[in-house]
Amino acid sequence: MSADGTTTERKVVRLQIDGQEYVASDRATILDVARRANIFIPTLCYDPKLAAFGACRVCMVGVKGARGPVAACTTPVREGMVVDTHDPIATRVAKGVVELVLSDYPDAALAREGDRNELRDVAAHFGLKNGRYQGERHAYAKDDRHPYIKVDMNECIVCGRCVRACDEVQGAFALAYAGRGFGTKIVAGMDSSFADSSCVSCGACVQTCPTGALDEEAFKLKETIDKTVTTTCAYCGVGCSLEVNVRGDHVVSIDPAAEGPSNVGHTCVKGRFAHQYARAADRLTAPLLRRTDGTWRETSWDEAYTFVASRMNDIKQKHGPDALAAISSSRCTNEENYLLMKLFRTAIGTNNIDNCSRVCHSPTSLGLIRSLGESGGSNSFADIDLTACILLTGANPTEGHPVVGARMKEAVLRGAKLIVIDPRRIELAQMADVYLQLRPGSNVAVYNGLAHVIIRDGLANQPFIDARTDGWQAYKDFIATYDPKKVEELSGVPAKDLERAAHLYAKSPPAGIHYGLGVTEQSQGVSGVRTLANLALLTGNFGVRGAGSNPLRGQNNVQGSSDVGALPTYLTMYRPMADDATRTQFEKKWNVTIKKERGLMIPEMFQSAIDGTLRGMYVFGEDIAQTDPNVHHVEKALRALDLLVVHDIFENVTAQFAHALLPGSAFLEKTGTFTNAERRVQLVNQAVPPPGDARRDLDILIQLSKHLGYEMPHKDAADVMDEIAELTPQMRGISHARLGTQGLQWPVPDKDHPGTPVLYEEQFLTANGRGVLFPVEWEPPGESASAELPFILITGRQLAHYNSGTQTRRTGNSELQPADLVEIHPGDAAELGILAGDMVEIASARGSVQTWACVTTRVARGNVFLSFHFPEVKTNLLTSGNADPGTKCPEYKVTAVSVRKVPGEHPKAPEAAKGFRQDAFDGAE
Amino acid sequence: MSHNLVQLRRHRADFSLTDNALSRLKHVMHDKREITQDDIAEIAKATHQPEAAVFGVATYYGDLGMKKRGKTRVKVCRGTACFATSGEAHVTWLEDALGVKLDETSADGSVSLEGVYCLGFCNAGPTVEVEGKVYAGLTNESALALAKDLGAHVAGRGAMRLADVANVPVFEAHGCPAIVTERLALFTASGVDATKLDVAEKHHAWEGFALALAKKTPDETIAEVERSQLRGRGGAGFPTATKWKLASGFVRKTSSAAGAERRDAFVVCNADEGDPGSYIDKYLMEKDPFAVLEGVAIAGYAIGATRGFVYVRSEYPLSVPVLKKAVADARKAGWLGTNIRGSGWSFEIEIVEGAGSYVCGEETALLRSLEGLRGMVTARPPFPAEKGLFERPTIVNNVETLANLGWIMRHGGDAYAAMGIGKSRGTKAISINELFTRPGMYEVPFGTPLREVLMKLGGGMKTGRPIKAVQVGGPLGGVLPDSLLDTPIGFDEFDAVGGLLGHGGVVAWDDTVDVRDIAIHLFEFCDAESCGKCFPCRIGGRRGWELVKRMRTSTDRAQLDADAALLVDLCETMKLGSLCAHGGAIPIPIASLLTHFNAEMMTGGAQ
Repeated sequence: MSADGTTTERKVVRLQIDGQEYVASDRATILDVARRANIFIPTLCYDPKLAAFGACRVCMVGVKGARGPVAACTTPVREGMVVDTHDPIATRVAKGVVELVLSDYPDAALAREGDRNELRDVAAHFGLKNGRYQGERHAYAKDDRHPYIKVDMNECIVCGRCVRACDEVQGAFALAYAGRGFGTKIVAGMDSSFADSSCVSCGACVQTCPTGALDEEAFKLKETIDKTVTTTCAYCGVGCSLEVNVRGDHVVSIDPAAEGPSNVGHTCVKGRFAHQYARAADRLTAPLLRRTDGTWRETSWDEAYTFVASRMNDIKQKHGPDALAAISSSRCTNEENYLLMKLFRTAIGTNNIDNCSRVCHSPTSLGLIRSLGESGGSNSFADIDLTACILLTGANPTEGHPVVGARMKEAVLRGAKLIVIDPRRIELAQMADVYLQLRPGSNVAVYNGLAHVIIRDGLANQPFIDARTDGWQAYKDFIATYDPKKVEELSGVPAKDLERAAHLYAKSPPAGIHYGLGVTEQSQGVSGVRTLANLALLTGNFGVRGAGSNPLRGQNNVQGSSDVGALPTYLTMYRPMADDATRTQFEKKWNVTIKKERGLMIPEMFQSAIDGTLRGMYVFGEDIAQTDPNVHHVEKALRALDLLVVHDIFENVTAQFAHALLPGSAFLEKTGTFTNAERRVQLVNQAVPPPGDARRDLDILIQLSKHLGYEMPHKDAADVMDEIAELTPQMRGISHARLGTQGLQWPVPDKDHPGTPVLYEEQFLTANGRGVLFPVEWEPPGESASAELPFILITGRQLAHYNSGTQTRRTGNSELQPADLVEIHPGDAAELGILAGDMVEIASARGSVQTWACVTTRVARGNVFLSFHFPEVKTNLLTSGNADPGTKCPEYKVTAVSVRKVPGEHPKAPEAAKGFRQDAFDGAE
Repeated sequence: MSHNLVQLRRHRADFSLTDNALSRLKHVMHDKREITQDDIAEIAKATHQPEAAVFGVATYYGDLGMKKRGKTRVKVCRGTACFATSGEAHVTWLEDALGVKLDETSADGSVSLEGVYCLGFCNAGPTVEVEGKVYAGLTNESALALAKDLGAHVAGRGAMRLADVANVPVFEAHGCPAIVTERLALFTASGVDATKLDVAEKHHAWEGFALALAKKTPDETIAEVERSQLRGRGGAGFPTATKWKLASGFVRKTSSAAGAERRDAFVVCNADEGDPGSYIDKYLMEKDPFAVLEGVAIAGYAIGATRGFVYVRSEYPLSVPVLKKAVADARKAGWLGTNIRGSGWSFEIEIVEGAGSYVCGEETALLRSLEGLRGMVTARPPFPAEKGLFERPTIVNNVETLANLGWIMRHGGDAYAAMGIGKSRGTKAISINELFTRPGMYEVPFGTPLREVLMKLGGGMKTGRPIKAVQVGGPLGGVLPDSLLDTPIGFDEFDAVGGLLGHGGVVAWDDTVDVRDIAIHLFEFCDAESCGKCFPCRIGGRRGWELVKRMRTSTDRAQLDADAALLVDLCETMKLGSLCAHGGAIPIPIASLLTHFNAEMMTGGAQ
């Protein structure tokens, strides 16, 4: 049954096309069946990703007994239908339509070669060069103001595919039909430039345009590309499958793979367009060593390895192996993360290896393992298409995970319910059935309150609780105190709204929870993760499609970097260091002894450096001096080190403190795997070579290990994966050869296992197979507003940018979104005399930054919001050292700050494209 | 316009049709005489619609647009009947008198002149509407007087006369019993004011509905209509009961489905009588509104609907207030509202005004317009009976169709089916244009030869000259020569001679007309009103217009022949390729002109 209550019974019917018998569902159209059977029917307005439209009338076919030819794209098949795709009348009509189209299409565009042009192909099919019609042609001005999307509406045939892609794939609704009659045209916004519309530059319109009216410059080279390489996007945890079009050693353009399992033919402004950074002029192309005068000098790899290895060995000899530490990268591949942790546990002999998921999703790992058994989202992105209710909290997917955000929009438009719990009125909050605008730091109170209402109102799934959970009685008694009135006091969420949300969630199975860093980057990060899991346990929302609790991972390989053991506490797949059997297995394979005691977590590394016990660090693919909290503290730590090695593709902020700089490779330049937020291990395939003398990261790590005196046997990434598989039961069935274009979702226990789209179908993976209902009190966040620091700062992401902005700022995305602005509520702004665009200072107990004000109701009164993509605004000077006690994940999301207008003259804020303005989705109701 | 834009509208719908992007744009235009980008941004925000989509709405409807309009908006009728009367000279008279060109606004912003396709005073044209007041019988002198009046901003004086539908004569007898005397003739001929509920009730208004409600189940009500063999009067002639049965099934299925939240189902009365030349629905709404509302209520009861809507075109400014008052009176009297007459069934009717678009008479376009979106056509299936207004089961029935239902309920379907010919049963209202001696609306049983209506009832051409060409069924109907006038009135009977009964509007010309001007007029109309979705209509309308204009002046015989051949091909492409009847049926009159008046069509320009 569909969400709107209509039944969708399907019948199987038999029909004939061109004399051949076919069997199909009665929901299929003639065109569906024909395409499946590889029978060619020309089309112009058809795109299989979009709802059938029936505008171009080129897919006309003959149907026996019909009054005239019919459009194959909109005509459902029925029993006994006899279709003739060569029916002379139908063909004549279709040809007549194309002749009409050509009468308003530039001859030059039709003659152009090397361009993707479906109209040209269709015209050729009918043997048409131009037509007999003469008359008025449209003459529109071109729009080339957008950095990526070039518009020439003179080549537009008004098929509406761009409008429908915008609405039905992206949900941006930036394009529309305007006018009528012969004057009907497609407009962006109010007939302005794409840059002045609500366009979010996902490029779905460009991808579907059949004529070249919407084009990437690069598309014109499409047919002269040398090869297309399928790989996995390195922005965010969605893990879009991409097709990289390559000519020579350059990337020409990138398309989303139609069969991509997590993106289904879609991607975003980052994945599709923001790849030029790989060819940026300031890419590191040779190893650099610091001169005594502080400047860099280029050197050979041999010297670089020797320098780094000897300095590391010195420290190890003088201070012991634990005086060295490494920070691995959630942006890098599983194989690289595995090798770096292997290097530190073998060649160095320390467990001081952590990755940047420490500062984002470490509470997810710990929380989910404790409550459910596995450190991974329970369900798949495809489940969003099947869910009846989405509970979204602490995440802003339309900016942070755009493809998932778009998919959620489509789900809501299909009829799924949406509950948004977030202090910031994000874009999806405006589509929500219930929006709970809680105070920052009150997650646990609200989640407990939802559980209270579910139990109080008899909406709990008792059979599920009895059969599959532990701790029910104690939990039930505990939760009784979280009545909506109390929760309202703690969180600011009106009791009525809380009740509505609880009812909606509990009464709409299957309901899926999706959460992000707004849950984990809290002093109660683990508690947040676990109290959310409680909700799904209480309502039986585990083990079925469309349900579960699903983290939206921030970076592309947050899941994988931790899965493969780049953590101080665990070996692969979260097996504790203290576990003798696991350790022994690795010791045997690696032929070394591994320490039983856990190593340092990232925040502890900084403290140890300041204390003098940590003397050398290896930082791989992370810009900790920009992205970690309390940057002054981080800088102090880095200055204190005897050796800092930065292994990156750019001279980032952290590199200012480094002694050696090793030029690595971008994702387009290497092979390996990423694991996305749905536990899907996917292939990353090298499309182009690294520039200059930059090296593939895996090669660098293997060579370095060799120079350190520990020779690794690996020859390539596939080989590394084989070792991971051998040592890791949940990944035993994974090999590069098996991954193909669809990847595999772990657990994959053996070589024949198809992977696991839904966890916990039969039982949870805790020791006794039962989920744990976890009672935990809400505690106030580490910081709260005071007279001196009356505002709470929330940090987060912008659509065009990614993390530290190292990559995206080096692309056209900077034109779309050129700065971090601080969001402040109009009421607060008025009190402080702040107008939109004014320069303001935001100060915390630790530091201050200045930027322009964006006055918007997207934030509540008393809150301000900043992203952290631009080094010009060092947001993390402000954030605190407070952290979740169990995981040391910082409390990025709650920082007490003051805000004031900075008097005097200041440069004007650079203007963002309209769809990227921070007040583009102003929440005003 | 995408499937998802409709979904977005549905997602945000409180099902109020009186406050949406379209209604707000209309208000802004009415109050400020222009729509700015700021207005669109504001409306988009207030209605939760995308800016681009609201811009799309603003630029779609004739009443709207991004052009500044005058303080006084003068709307001149360019419909076929007025065209037949003056050959569009009346447009020139107004342009000259007002000092503004068509579709332009005076420099001081005081007055704008706009063309509209048919104000529904085809019996008294040429017609012009000024701020809701309609003036008929326009002459060059009265155009000057109007302009003078507008100077003082006083409407309705001078040589003009406010049109009065009492001037529409209605034929009384012709052997057709009950319906004519009860429903139409009596009210006008005998001075009965059927817009008053007590008067109307004395003449049996609401009796049929009360009978159905008290004595028949919804299914029995449908069965009665099935027995009447009533077919849709909007033009397509689709069996009414078949449509209802389909909808009724979907209503049951969707409201009984487990977890169904929405049980709404709708009846939409299609009062977008766009065919230039017909004013049947207008007459019924303004003179006999309860017959229409009663029909809506009967239909609603039959399919289990929760609400009804009457979508009235904005070119009929006099119809809306009459209907609104009738709804209020009917509600007060308990014919509408909650638990009607203790039946347990509740039903409301709302009157919604359009904004100037011919294609909105097509049912899927009409539904989009009701939702406040562009009136663009959607491919069927799904049919509105399954997914209509806001994706809920909906039936769309024409005004005249619905106005028959009270009678059918009172007298039984068999009595209705006893009249007529072939598969066309009951009666049909026919409206004839100003050039006749007795222009007006005539209700006759199906099967009556057309000539009888035109000559016996209409009295032939006023000028006494012979009828040369007759277009039946609106701009998409065939243009018939005298030789085909004996065709009996009936859906299939007209199809058989390459014509189209359509909605029953008739525009006739005497022998002074140049039929090539008819072709140009029709293609211009087709181009201007195309919704722009399907390629054959969007491009073909313009190319056709260009072709027939060129043929009118061409002196090159070879070129003329080539153009004529191309026109024939274009007609086939449009007829068989178009998504709806707008582009699909314009070839009917063009083809009939090429068939019946070929020599004249091929005359070419003066040598």
